[in-house]
Amino acid sequence: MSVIRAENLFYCYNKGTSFERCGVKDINLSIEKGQIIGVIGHTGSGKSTLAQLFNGLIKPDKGKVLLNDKNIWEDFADIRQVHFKVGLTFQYPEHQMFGETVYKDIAFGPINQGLSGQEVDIRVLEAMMFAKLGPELLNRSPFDLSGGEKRRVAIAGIIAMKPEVLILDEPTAGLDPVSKEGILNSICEYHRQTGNVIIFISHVMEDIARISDKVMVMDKGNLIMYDAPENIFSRREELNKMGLEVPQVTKIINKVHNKLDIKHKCVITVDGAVEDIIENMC
Amino acid sequence: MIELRNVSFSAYDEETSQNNYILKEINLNIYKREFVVILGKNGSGKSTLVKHFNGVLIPTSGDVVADGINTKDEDKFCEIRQKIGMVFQNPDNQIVSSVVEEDVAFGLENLGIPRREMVSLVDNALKCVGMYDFKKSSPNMLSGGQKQRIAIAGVLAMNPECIVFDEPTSMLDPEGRKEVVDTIQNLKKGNGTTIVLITHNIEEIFCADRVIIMDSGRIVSEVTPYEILLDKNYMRMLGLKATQSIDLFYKLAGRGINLPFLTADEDKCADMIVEFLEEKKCR
Repeated sequence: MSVIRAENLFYCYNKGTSFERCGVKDINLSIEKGQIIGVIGHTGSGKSTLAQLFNGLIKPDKGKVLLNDKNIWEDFADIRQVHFKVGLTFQYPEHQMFGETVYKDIAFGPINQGLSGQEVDIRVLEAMMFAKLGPELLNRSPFDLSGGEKRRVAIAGIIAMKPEVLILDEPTAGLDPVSKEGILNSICEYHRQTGNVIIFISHVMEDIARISDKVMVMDKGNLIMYDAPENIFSRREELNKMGLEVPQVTKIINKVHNKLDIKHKCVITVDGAVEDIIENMC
Repeated sequence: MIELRNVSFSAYDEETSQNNYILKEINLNIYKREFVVILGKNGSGKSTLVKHFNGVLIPTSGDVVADGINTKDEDKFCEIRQKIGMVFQNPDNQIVSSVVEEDVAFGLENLGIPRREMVSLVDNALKCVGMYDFKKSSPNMLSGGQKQRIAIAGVLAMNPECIVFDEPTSMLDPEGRKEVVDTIQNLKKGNGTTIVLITHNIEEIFCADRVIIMDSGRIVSEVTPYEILLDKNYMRMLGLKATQSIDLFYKLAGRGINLPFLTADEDKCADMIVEFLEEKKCR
């Protein structure tokens, strides 16, 4: 069953002016329950526009976004519910924090959902657990935290609304490697426990390859590919033309296969590479 | 080129009412034409250290002498900053003008360089970073990597002997990162500029002559780039993320396959695996 579906989706910026540019052009796709979807594309390819269309933040010029088979714009009064059901974190979400304390910042979403005080408390603590934030941070100001912690608070604020679909726009950009790893692990843990759809926009192909069930490739507003990561990363030349790379181990194993004239098999993870090498030993 | 003698730096912390030492008794020499990388966890004092190189910060105790000038000498502030330029993390924070060439000329204008000379200095700097074609553009239409190269050109136009880069690629996408790294390497080769680079990115350390590792305000060791790869403890301590080629090396070793050496370079890694499989000759 599809959770989110796009039908003939169009969205253009600066409409009717000479600067008109379409961020998203004729997109058709369906995202099934329980999947992690990776989204890749060069800067300006329409990834973030698509995320905002899914969340109902912007209204498509043409076409439909269907959430659980219902057009999200069918009734304008329902769009607020869509914001809760499809949680979206922007790039550098810590720039948008405003709560005086970590608690207030994370509780903002659930309070606006109309939950009772006790329910809000539970949601906040649950979200903090997922984001690996200790309860001792509850009354601290989010602005006194480190960059990695701030980012986790911002993500916890969205998780606390228990969205059916969680969209993360470059959640690890600009962080040091240890914080990056922590955030990736939190995302995987959240997915394991809730089974909710996650849409993960990133420039880091190694991460995309590691956690995605399916990958979308965007270029100039078009959805060029939508397939399993092994199939996506086996089309290296096409990706390179769009200014995209493949994971480093894919390049390594490709080169090995070419030199030894072994039939091509696309390897996208380090563990996969180890198995491939052992298989080819004899 | 730059000499630090017993440099300590402290800041007064209002909450605890005491002086917190951010740098502790640092002795360091950076030589002409050298490429030095500084590694360390967040908060280890890397940025504070490099801000001492051209007098943005003055040591609480000890001396910093850059090209014969002590940074405490207030009369020579301008001179020292012309000699040692800096490029920071966020490209958007470093652009002051609405036209690329005017932005690059900003430093020169402040030095009072005659116009004719200034035009050629700006053009050369832009050519050097491969942004000459954009000289009449508006910076807000450029990508992060392009903006960062404009920031480099602005420093370069001052004809510095040394450029300090403080995580210049951490906010860029992979393409922008490559543009900037290539530009830095060309500076070293072409102009012979002394380069100090702070980074978290393991791929960027390989062009360094020397790697300095900082922890809690001290320099804890000086190594070659290769030594970092060899010691897993370094990687963990520094919070560096191994490239997949490095992970592959260790995972293969765990299965009894020992490749000859560690590398972050995919081609070298592939060659080693090919050699290994050919030796096995059993396909």
